Amino acid sequence: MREPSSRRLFLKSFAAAGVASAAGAVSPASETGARRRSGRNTPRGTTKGLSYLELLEGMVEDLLAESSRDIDTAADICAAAITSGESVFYTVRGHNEPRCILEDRPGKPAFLLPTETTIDPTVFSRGDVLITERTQYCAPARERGVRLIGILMPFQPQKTRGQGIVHIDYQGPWMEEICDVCIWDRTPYTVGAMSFDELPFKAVPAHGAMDGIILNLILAATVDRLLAKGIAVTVT
Amino acid sequence: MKTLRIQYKERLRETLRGIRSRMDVIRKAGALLIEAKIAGGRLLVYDRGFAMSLDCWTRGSGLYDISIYRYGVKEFLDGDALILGSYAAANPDDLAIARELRARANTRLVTISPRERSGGRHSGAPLSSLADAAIDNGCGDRAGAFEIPGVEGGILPIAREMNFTINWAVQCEYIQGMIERGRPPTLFYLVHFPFFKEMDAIMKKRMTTYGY
Repeated sequence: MREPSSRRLFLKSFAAAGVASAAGAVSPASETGARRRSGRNTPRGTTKGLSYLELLEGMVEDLLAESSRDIDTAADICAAAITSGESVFYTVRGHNEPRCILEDRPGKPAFLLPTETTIDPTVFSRGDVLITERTQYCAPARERGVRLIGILMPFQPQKTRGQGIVHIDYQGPWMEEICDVCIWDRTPYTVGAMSFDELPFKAVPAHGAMDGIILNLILAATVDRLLAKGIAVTVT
Repeated sequence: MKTLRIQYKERLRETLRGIRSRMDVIRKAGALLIEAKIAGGRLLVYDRGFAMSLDCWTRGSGLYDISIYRYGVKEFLDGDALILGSYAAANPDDLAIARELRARANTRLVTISPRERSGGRHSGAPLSSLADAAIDNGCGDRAGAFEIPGVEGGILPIAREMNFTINWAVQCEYIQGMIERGRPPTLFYLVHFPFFKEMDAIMKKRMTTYGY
């Protein structure tokens, strides 16, 4: 059989990329290293498990390279609040967020307080901090004078990331505008991060690990600041 | 003295790289799950606290056909395959779950945990000795927590994020292997996407019809 010309191959690839992009298969997330390291076009001999690990490592590297300043800002906010005797809360709602905080294992900094699964804004006082992935809690908390650290994940309404088909009619307030600082978890709005032949949409997410890593980076930097000020840190 | 943040970053990178070096066991784990499923067994997941289990159960873009032991599924059956995540090499509760599974016929056990005990904190054999595929999470028996001056006890364990990642890598191998065997597994449609109810009904019907 005659081999297609390189020009034909190029045009075919270009057309396929265009169709994928128009269909939403390529998200803004994939404009970063996450795309370069995505599970698409798995090289011969590479299995999907390995592709996934490489993808996650790429997301971590992007986070470390691009969000360091935001993590510093978040840690500054947390450390200032703790130094002033205020509280640092973290929302616990959804698949993994409650377990991130409450599960049976040692090592959580005692200054980090879980909210109830449904938040009563009256628990907040002026000067407290709320770390959250949940857009709906930001405005009520802000009205109470709470400083907000947003973790942007794919299926919460966002202004500048993952403009997909969830919350299409949402008009705000946007986390990016209402939070003091936002950190994107690098997960595309497809939620699934890997493409497999014969599956109808992308499979296998990564935001459970990524959101935990972001939180831990904020907490680590906060602990550094507290210890530098001579403030004791205890763990649960 | 390195800051905790730098230590965290370095250990995170190092541990993630280490997982890649254990791809042979991850592939084996995926193959075991495929064997069990094709033989008619159930795909189960369990970890104390259910953090890893809830990260993959009814998760948009995750497997439809996976259940959490002791969360929905109350007892093991012959032929079951279990992914068991743990933060310790020989936690007595996790060992009891593993033995409970092993008491049934034709079961497969994949463990994601520290491979070896760090000291005499537990008695008996480690969890890995009961597994068909034991994947070391690379975090040691302190769950990858950091010992730093000024803080009593380990802080900020990384094992949760590593166990999540390994679990999904295993499921990638499972999905790809099932596709190669002509049995592409059913995915759970994200609950936040439009037309969730309609899509979920289709996915449920597909999973019930084909059994995977």
